[in-house]
Amino acid sequence: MANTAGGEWALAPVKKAGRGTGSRFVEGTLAGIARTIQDAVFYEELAQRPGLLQNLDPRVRLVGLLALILAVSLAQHIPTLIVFYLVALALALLSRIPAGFFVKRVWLFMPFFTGVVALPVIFNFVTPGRPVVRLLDLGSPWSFAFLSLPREIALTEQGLKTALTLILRVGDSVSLAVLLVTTSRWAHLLKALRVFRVPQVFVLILAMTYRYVFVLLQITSAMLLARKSRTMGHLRGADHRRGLGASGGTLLAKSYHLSDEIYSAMLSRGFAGEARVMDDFRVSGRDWLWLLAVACLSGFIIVLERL
Amino acid sequence: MIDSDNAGARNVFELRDVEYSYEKTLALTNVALDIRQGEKVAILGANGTGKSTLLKLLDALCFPTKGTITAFGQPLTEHLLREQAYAHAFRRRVGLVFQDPDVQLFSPTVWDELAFGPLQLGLPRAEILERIHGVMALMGIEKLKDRPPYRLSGGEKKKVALASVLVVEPDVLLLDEPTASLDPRSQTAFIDMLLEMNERGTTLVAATHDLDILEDIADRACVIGDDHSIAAIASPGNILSDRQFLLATNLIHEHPHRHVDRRHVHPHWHRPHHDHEH
Repeated sequence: MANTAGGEWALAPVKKAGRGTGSRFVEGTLAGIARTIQDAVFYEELAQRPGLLQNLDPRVRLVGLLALILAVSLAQHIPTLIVFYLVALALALLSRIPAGFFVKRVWLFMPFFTGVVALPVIFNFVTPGRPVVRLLDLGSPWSFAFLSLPREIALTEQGLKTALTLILRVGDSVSLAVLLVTTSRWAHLLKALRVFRVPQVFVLILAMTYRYVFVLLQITSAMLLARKSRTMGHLRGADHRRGLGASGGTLLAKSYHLSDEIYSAMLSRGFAGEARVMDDFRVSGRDWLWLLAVACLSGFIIVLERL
Repeated sequence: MIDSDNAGARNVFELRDVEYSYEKTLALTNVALDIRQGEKVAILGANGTGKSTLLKLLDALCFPTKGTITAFGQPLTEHLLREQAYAHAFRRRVGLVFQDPDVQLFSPTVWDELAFGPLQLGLPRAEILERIHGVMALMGIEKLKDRPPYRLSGGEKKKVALASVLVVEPDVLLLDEPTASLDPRSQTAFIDMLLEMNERGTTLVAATHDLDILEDIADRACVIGDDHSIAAIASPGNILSDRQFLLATNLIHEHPHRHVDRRHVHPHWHRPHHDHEH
């Protein structure tokens, strides 16, 4: 900087800066924060649509969907699980949840995770049964320690059915849980937990945690942007780690200060250690009808498949 | 400068030789101040002089390390605040609007936020609903009723934070930087609302370093100096006309200006729109 007064250093040609790992990390984190807030706003918007489930009392909606999840976990046959999925899909459509979003949200990644868990079940050395696909002939049975393999490795009909049942059961349950989350406003969902006698203080802590995640996300986003705006060129790994450590420490200190201030704000408005909340929920005829439909459907299917 | 107008209405707060320290850091010292019922008092001071701490002491969120505070004729002590009946009565009469609305908006929705105070104070359900409805209409925030705080703008957050205190209908309203983060139009509307409440009998105590709003929001101004003690208590007119005093207490500053062909020095304070004649 030969002549700072004239500002000539600012007009000098800039050397081409490389893209360091730091830049990618900051950009990735900023994008992640933006996505989280965007998702929350989208879910909030879905929960306010005038659909079938959204119009129900939140407590009744919670009880009904949990009852359906329970019924799914008791179901044993593949056709039953398919019927439950169709019910979930119909409920999503009647609740104005976009079908593409609803299907993708569940089936895009879930089968891979559940598939990994279910994979061993399809082989004849875990689930004996009628072989469907023969994979390998070992010549003779093979055993080592607790592991013993038959002469021929194959996929069995019983194994494939078991794996499919597991995947469908998880898919149905997750679909119903997604329905609950997308048609319920977070605030209402928490209040509805009181039906199950969840302690008030637990509900309050959950609500405040969710609330302040957004404040901390905003603080993090501002810190990272400020850092990005002052970072030029490539940062060495050690410098990058040092910077991140400092940001983490600052965030921790800020959140500590924030929690202190929030507690003061609660005390100031009369909080004395016991949270009191109020809801204006009202159970109507429509809610009773929903509960009756859920009870009949679940009961009928579960009883029918056991006959 | 000495407070010339010491007579009049009943005192809601009396502070005598009050000192407060955050562990080893002195925040306030030697504070003697009376706040009378129905008046408007501004607490002025540069950043870090102890304005917010003074408001927290008045709201019984912290207690003096030395000296005494009397509220509504009774000594304000930690011991007394532990009695639920007294704590409820005190919290009903005194409300604090924090500087950062995010601190105050901790509930999942605006409606829950407004219900929080009255619920903690044990008001009947019907009265709570009526008050929420009333304060939402007063502040024009009905459409925000179901919004979570992260979907509110800065001005909306400030309004909701004020509403969450007003719903308790306090006799004394403590405000920490009331116009911070408000655009000029919201700022004017906000001050009008405060003045209307004062007309109805609410005592206002506002901590600020915004000299532009001083004459609007205060009958008296209490200036805290860099030494964390009271430098003056006087009318806003007297305070604003004493340039040397404002410079000494760091409420204004001087810096040189270049005007085409000449440079000169004159005092400044920071304001949204900044005009002056030469």
